[in-house]
Amino acid sequence: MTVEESFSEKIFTFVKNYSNFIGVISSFILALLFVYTTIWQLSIVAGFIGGLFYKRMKHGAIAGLVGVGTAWLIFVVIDVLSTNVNSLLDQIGSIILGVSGLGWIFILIVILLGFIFGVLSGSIGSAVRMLLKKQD
Amino acid sequence: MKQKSKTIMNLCIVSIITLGLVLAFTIPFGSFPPLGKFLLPGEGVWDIQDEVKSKEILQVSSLNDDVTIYRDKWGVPHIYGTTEKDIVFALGYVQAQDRLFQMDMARRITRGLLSEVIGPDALEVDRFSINKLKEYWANETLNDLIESTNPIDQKIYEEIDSYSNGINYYIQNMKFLPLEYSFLNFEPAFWSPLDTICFIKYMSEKLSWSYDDFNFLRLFNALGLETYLELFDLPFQIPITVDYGEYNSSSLSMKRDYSHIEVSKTQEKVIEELSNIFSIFMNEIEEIPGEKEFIEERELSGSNNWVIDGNKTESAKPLLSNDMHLAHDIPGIWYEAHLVNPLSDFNVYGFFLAGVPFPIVGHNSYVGWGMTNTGFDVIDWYYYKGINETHYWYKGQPKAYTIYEFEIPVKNQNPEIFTVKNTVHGPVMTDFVNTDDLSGDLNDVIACKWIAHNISYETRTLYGWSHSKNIDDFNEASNHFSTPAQNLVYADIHGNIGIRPTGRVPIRDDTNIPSWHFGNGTMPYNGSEGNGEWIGYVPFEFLPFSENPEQNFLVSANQISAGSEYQYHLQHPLDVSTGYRARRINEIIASGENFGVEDMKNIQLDVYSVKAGNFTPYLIDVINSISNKDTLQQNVFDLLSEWDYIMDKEKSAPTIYYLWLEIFFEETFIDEIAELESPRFPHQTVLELLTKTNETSVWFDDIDTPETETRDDIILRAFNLAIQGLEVFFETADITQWEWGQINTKYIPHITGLSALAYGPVGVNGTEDTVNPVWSKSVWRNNEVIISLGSGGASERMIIDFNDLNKSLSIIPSGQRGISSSEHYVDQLEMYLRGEYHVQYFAAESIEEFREAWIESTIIFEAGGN
Repeated sequence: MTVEESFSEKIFTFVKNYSNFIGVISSFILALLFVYTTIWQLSIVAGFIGGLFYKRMKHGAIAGLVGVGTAWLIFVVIDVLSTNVNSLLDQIGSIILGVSGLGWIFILIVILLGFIFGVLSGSIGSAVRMLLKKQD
Repeated sequence: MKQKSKTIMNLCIVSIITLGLVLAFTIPFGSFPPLGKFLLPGEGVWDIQDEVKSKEILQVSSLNDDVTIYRDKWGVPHIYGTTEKDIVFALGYVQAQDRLFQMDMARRITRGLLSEVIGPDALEVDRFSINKLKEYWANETLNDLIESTNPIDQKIYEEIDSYSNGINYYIQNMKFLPLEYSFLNFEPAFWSPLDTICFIKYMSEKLSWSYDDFNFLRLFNALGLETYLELFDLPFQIPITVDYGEYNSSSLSMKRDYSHIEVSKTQEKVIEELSNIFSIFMNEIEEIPGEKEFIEERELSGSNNWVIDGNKTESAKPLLSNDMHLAHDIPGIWYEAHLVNPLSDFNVYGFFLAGVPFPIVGHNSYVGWGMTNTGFDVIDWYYYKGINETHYWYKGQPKAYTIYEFEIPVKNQNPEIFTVKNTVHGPVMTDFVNTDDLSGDLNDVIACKWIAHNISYETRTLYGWSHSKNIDDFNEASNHFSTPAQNLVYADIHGNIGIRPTGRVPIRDDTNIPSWHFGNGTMPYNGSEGNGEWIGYVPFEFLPFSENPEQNFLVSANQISAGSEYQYHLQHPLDVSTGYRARRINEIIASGENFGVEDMKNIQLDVYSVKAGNFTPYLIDVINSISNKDTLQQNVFDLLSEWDYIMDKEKSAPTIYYLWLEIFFEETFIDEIAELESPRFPHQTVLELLTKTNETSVWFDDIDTPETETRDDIILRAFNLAIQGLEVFFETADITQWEWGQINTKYIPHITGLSALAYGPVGVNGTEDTVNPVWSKSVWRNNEVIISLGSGGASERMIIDFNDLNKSLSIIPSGQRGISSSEHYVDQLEMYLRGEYHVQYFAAESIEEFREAWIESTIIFEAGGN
């Protein structure tokens, strides 16, 4: 056994043992990184990659939900607490809905969407893994 | 296999849902932009920086030396650099940082570039804007500036170019787009020097474009000479300049002797035909967005400025005040900034247009200046006999139109090629009118000649004012000022004061006009006959002015420019303010002594109504004469008898007076005006004159009743209607609850019209004719009280103390920053509504003197780098 083989095996074993966490963490980290790009659709990629670590769609969905959803939740909470974004969302609410003071609804919707995108993309990730595995 | 199929099925379902959601947030819905673009993390609202960073260091290769910008607690930038070119680069940067969307929209409106970002819906507005040739002449002016060998012009161009680079440096490096861009789904294009020059034309349009020539002819047609002269008289005027005698009301209001004006039956028919054509033209033009504001009758877009010399101030040094009245918007039109070169004596604080690198009003270490609009008559309209699409009649010969071609970029479709037809005078405007409506009329072509249709040198003036050290420098700079003509008020540290209505005013050749025509550009001219050609301009040295007058002060509030001894025609008679503000300011200053900065504030915020003071006593007399007053009438009588004529929002007397006067005015004139089909009501000063001098005037008689009414009959009728209306509106007979601020409100719209980004409505003091004005609207419609939603007034307030320039004060009715979540979005507006000001920190002539405690944020531009 070469040194490289030994290292690969260790990585493989590590991933196998901790796949439950790695999927969640990777989707979380990626989602958190992607919110600092200008392409919100990348959150789907984050959830998808997280889902790839699971053999069942249900588990992939949970990984995406926790990873992407939590990342968006943290991002939103930090932004709301440190900036005046809630007043901007109030204004948007007023423009779209014609009623002022409903910015908090948009905040909830955004957080909810984070969880939804996470569930969906995580499911897709794990489903793709299942299909690829079965073909093998 | 079954499991695989199930997985594929699930994958398909989840993928479809995901795709649907992604699409729902990626594609626009009708007028709404893609929701994800401005709502989801990564973009839009989450990126917007409410405030600028507390400290930023940027390296700029094009700078000669470092530049430091301190923003004070109101977000006003104080810019320190060692060359003016570097300083204006930084000014461009901070203006873009604070006002990018406003700047972008203003240039698009001026240049006819709205369709590029909005789409075909804006094409009509763009076409009309281009047809006014603002961009064309801005371009000609810019080319002239670039080619000029005058060293000052070269310096000006260099500075405008550097300023544009500052804006573009911001655009290139900006980290977020303001909310408005996300909503409208476009991004800002780079700034060019042409955009800056266009601002001059934009302001000229705002302040001097007018359709009053048509109104004048229509009035003349409806009323006839005698009635016109009576109803559109200009009584109680106090001339702005004091060295040309008193103003003799109607006999000289247009510098013409009316005795020659004769109207034969044939001419009456011609006037009526022209009046009909112009009515059709005006009705259609009114439908073009933005044009209605130029057609609607209202108190002249005015302003106040005054100077008091050392003989009447407590410090023995001059005081200068200026508040320019314009329609309010958020963000406001003015951007405050302080520019300093510590190596020279360049130190100027002023109000800038966001898009122009030179202050429009302000002061340096030596001189200060302010503006009010003159109402000079600088646009003439001509009608012609058209021949076909390419030719019209001119002086007995067919003449070909000159054609200018423009390309209008349109969002999501190919650019439109738009042609502007020009006569010898200017652009043809009848192409915007349905020609079927004019068919059969010989005079079916209408064009205009406007002062802004010239290469002009306002930038020399603005640059010159900033660098003036004395009254001679100031006058030399003012000599280049063309449009929009302004009453320039001046003071300096040497103790001089002055006032100078300034701008280019055409002199017309009226030798061949018909005998009915008033001449002087007051009515449309027969262009085919070559009437009313511009043969020159009133020379600068012949414009009226006053310097260091014996009365020790000077005032302008859009009233008549000069007294009867002045020889030239300057103002259109329909564009002269009724003069109530001027009367009040003159009265306060003439009767006072030892004025200080606090007194200047009190005058700027004054809401005493001269009009109320002159009308209300007649109302009180009439109520007093009612033999059996009911409780309500008695209460109103008591209230009005004790009223001080202050239009205080918390008082009820202003409500009763204002509504009563509106009804009194309407009841006096509406019967005759309707019968005569006059397009306008007379000036309210005419009613004041009639009320004071002729209580049995025919105008007081209601022609719809068999009786002959007098002044007091109409006063009583209006009074009863007013209190009945107020009782219904407020749902109470308790008059203490009829507060003025309940129906006199101010609403400040956002420039996009989005109500969520607007401010108000809030109840306010004042009326349209108090020194502190609010552009009040009618409070009486269809025999019911309605709320006035005024949206104009003082667009800035400035007080300059030449004893200690650091005591000079400012305020604007918005804030410095156009970002709607910033604390500087409306911080000054709230102070403004409370009647507060902020200091200018002008004394900090060097970086070291700018105290740490004043600094809210810092930007350092380091010369060098990439």
